[in-house]
Amino acid sequence: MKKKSIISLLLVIVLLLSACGQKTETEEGKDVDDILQKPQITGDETEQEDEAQQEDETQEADDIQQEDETQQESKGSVPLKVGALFSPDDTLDPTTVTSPGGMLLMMSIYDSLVSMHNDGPTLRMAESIEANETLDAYTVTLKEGLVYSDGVEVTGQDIIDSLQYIAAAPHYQSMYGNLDFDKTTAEGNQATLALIEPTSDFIESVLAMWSPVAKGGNFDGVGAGGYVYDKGDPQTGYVLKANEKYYAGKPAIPEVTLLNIPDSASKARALQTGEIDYAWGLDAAAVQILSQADGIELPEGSLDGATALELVLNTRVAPFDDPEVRYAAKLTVDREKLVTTLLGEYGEIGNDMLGKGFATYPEDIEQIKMDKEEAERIFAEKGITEITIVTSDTIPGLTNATKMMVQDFADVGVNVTVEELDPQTFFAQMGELYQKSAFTFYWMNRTPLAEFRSQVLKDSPYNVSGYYSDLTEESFKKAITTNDKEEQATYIKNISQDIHENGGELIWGYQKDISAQRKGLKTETNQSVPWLATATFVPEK
Amino acid sequence: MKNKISKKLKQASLVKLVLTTFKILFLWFLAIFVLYLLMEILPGDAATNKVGKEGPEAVAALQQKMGLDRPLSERFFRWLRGFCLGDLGKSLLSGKNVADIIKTPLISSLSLALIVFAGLVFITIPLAVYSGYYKNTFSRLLTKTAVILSALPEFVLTVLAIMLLCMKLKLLPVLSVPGPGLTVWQNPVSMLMPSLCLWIICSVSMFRHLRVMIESYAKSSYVKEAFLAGLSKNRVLFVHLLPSALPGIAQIMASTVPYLLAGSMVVETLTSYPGMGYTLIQAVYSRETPIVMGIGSFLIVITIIFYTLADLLAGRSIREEEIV
Repeated sequence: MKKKSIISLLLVIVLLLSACGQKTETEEGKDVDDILQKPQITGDETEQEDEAQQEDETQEADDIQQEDETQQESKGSVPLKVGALFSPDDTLDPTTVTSPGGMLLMMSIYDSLVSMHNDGPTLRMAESIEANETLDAYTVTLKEGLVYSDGVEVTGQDIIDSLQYIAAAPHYQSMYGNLDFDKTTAEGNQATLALIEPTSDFIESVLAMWSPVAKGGNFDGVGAGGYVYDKGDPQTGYVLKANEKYYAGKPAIPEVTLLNIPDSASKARALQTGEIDYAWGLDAAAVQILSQADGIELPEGSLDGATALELVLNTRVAPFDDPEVRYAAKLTVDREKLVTTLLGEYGEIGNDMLGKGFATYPEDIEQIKMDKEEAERIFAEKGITEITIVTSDTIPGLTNATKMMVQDFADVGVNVTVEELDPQTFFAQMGELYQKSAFTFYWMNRTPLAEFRSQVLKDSPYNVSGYYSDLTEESFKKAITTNDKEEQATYIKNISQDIHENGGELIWGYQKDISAQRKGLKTETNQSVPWLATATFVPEK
Repeated sequence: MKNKISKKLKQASLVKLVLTTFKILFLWFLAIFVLYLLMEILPGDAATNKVGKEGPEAVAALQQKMGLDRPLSERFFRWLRGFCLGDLGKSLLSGKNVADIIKTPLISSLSLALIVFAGLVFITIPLAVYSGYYKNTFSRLLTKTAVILSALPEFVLTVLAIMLLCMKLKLLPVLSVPGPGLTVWQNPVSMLMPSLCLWIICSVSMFRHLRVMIESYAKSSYVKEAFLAGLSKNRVLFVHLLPSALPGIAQIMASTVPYLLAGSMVVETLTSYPGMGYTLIQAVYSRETPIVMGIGSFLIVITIIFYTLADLLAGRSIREEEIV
């Protein structure tokens, strides 16, 4: 009897240890690495994890308790009112939507094959996505019995039609440009997406960014997402009803009202008076309004939807065509002061590399620190006393950041001439900007590989600093064609290190998206856009 | 003989009506052409706004798709032809019909303008006339209040009104949104806050102008003579002073109407009211020429009509004075 008890105890310890081991693996983002090692995501992985968990009695008890809580929340969830910003000409077609509110509406109606989180991609409408051996074709299998809100079955051909329609939109071309629609095929609920060039990061860099599906690629308001368009327009807002045919079960929140509130402070005030329950997209001033409010919580922003703020050191022209001068500039800027003053608690200091917060971001590369003495020495040695920075509030705060940098550069003996441009025409003047020594810029934070593809190669469409090297070109090619996760991580680190040390990107900070909500609302986000389909809302009394 | 004179007068009136109509049309054409030109002069266009980050090739391709590569005159006259045929065109960015985009803001702004206009006619004008004509504590209080309020920027005034009425006293909602898919008339409460703010903003400026005008009329010789003739103060006001001041009042009112429709951007934004001001500003920012032209042409028509009416009233008043 005693022997049996000891054996049982040992078994329990072994099981607990194995469970802890699994958890650590997830925390370290190893599941993402698995995907990268073999570019596929399948539902089987989840099932295997479930089986393992079932063996652990403690874990099972927790699961049941958690499930009960979720069910209770689902049953008690009440309609939700969201305040967001819409554009007057937003439609139900994702290729025309330009506003954050419009994106929330699109994601709620059309969902996505796969979504992206800090720790990697998550399957949504897709049951599995598998790459072939040569990494030039990905087979997407939809969830069994997946239907649109009107009951029509979602097919593999719909995936192709939808992606083809979206890829034709000019602002999506760079994202979906690698798809070869002539070779893409569909059968039943499967679609095999052929690529022009082999790549191992197609899931995380393209599909996970957003891959909506509509009948025949016709985005007319009927999708397979958690919510169904009921009525409304961008000016007066929208009413969405929970989709009873949603693949994950009818969403807990029965009705969502999206209201157009252009002013951030008005959103905060409406949240305070109870006219809305979720203020999505606030500025720092609005946070001040809500900081003392009862029953309101400000969730910690995540980096997966953050905005990276940059001073581009243009390597095409003097003085930043010299890597030493670029290095001096990087030592000059007081990043901590900029982030504290302009971004507050919703900011994080940048280290001249994009993709911070994602699992593949090389956190171990040393943070560049301000060293004005060394910067002054280099500038003096190189005879640099004047530079020009072109700035524009393409997102609020960049001009103020530039003004603060002027003082930093003055401290090291460099006089800065600031030229301000109209934000509406800033991007139309890239040709002129490429003749200036430096200019401000911003990026949506994505995975390192996705960022590299668009920014650091010789032919990248957004290589704004003009910096590229043989090392980055070769490492990138190897990174996207390897199945070995460790090898890929090494290449990513090599590229990041090169950009960090030699590149023209002075990424001084990350601005996380700020939202506020009534207590009792639980949501998960995808690149800062909340997934309402899996949210619950039981207001605290 | 009498018939001949009457016929000639009718002919003269008809000629004047035709001339006025032509004048209105000419002014409208000139104004919309200038508006089109201004949109053209602004740096960037809808294509650069949408795909500027994608590089010059993407911009050129989209410009071609949107028809922005065509000569200015061709685009303008194509838009004009469409307008004359009742087609306001489509949004460059979304392809949505401009008529559908501006329908809700137009109804909202017209409704707001109507309410504020009524407030100006039935409250502001009587108060201004009272303040300019009668000299007592109440009129001085009104004048001082108007001076203080006029010193506050629109933004501050609207925020203060929201803080007081919505946040502190909880009399009105912070959001002046009628609700998804509803017009402002289906939820009239949504009009209260913006109309109150807009009425205060328009009133303070109008009050000061009118008060000074009435004050100067009250000092004029014919009013003094009326008093010397022993007429009562009220009779002088309603029979002699106000009829003379009416064209001036009409002109001030006429100049306020276009502002009521398009100048309410700050109030609309702060109260989240789905009006034309916000839509117009957004359209200018995104270089949506068809939307700007759709709203602009309507505003120009309204402006010209109201100014012409004010001029006609002024002309008639002068003739009447000459006859007297």
